[in-house]
Amino acid sequence: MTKHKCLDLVKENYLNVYLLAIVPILGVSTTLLNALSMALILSFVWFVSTFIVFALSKVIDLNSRRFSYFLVLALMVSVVDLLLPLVNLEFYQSLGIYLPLICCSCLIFETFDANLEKSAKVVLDDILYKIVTLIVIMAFIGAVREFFGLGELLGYKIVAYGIPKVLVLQTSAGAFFVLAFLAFVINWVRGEK
Amino acid sequence: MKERNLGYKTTFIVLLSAFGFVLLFAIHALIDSTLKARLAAQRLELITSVIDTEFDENPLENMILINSADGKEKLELYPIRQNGVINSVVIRVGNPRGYGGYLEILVGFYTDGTISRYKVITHNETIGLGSKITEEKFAEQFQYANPERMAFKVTKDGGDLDAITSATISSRAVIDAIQKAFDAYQRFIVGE
Repeated sequence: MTKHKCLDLVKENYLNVYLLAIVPILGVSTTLLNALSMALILSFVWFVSTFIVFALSKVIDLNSRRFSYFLVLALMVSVVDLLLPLVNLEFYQSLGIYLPLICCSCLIFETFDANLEKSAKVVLDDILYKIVTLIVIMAFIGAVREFFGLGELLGYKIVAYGIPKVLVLQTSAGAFFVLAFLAFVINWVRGEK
Repeated sequence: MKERNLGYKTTFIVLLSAFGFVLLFAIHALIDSTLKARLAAQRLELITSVIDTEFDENPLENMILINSADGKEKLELYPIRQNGVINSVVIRVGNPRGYGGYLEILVGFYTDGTISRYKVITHNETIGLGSKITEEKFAEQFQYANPERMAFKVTKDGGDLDAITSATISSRAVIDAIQKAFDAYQRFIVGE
């Protein structure tokens, strides 16, 4: 009974998994554009690795799927790591260690439903839904941190002078404030106590 | 799904890794030269952003290492040459005593030691306070200043330079770094 409850807590609580998994990419969510780009890169890596692993499900065993996933994931992150500086060098340099950390996020997401025998269609539908959620959440966090922290949005000054900026939102701790606030609002709307 | 034997799984994983290795190697070989050119262009842009004299030789290729005044460090000096004559130099200098630790700046000098401009490359100063060392309001007082002809300290220490409000340590770190670059440059000229 207790065992079941513990499992449920781990399995059903999407929000907890989300919180844990987006921590690696929170650090660079100081502006809307940064947060959005990072969410898009993460989604791309996540989606492509999962897609490849499931497309090869005829040749990959269920219990070696996870190893294959790790490999493909590392491969995709390395490819992005190599190609991103050609697309936008400044953005790539501002990411630093956070780009390889995408691996962590994907691993946490993946561990959630590893070794489950599902059809590829179910998994991909699921992932698309999660990716949209992820992008919306990251965009919100980035927008809040940029708007209240810098008084800008997408690089344009829009807050009138005289309104104090909440500088703590620009620090890493600020990301957690926004995240905690978001979790509170979501739980509140869902009516949980 | 039927269970396959261990040999099959191992072979599959090894083949997948080999494929990944080949793919990464190919991509790296393809983009390496382009990326190096981009990085060099970025460095050149950084270096030329702190001077306003013309040049016709690539300062990156003429880079020399000079000793700091105490002889403990090597600083990178980029001579800016036109028609073979040096009209200014750029020195890259670091200071570990910023409020958030190490900060690194590029300082541009005219040949007589007057500062043209400086630019912060890396810093970990507090956002909104110490990070103002990158802003024009603080940086403009260094333009055309000569550390020899003025008290090159913040007003709190009896000097002529305005510190950033509530970020005296960060301001001092920048001033110290510029002073270090200036001293090294003076010694370098005398030695030459």
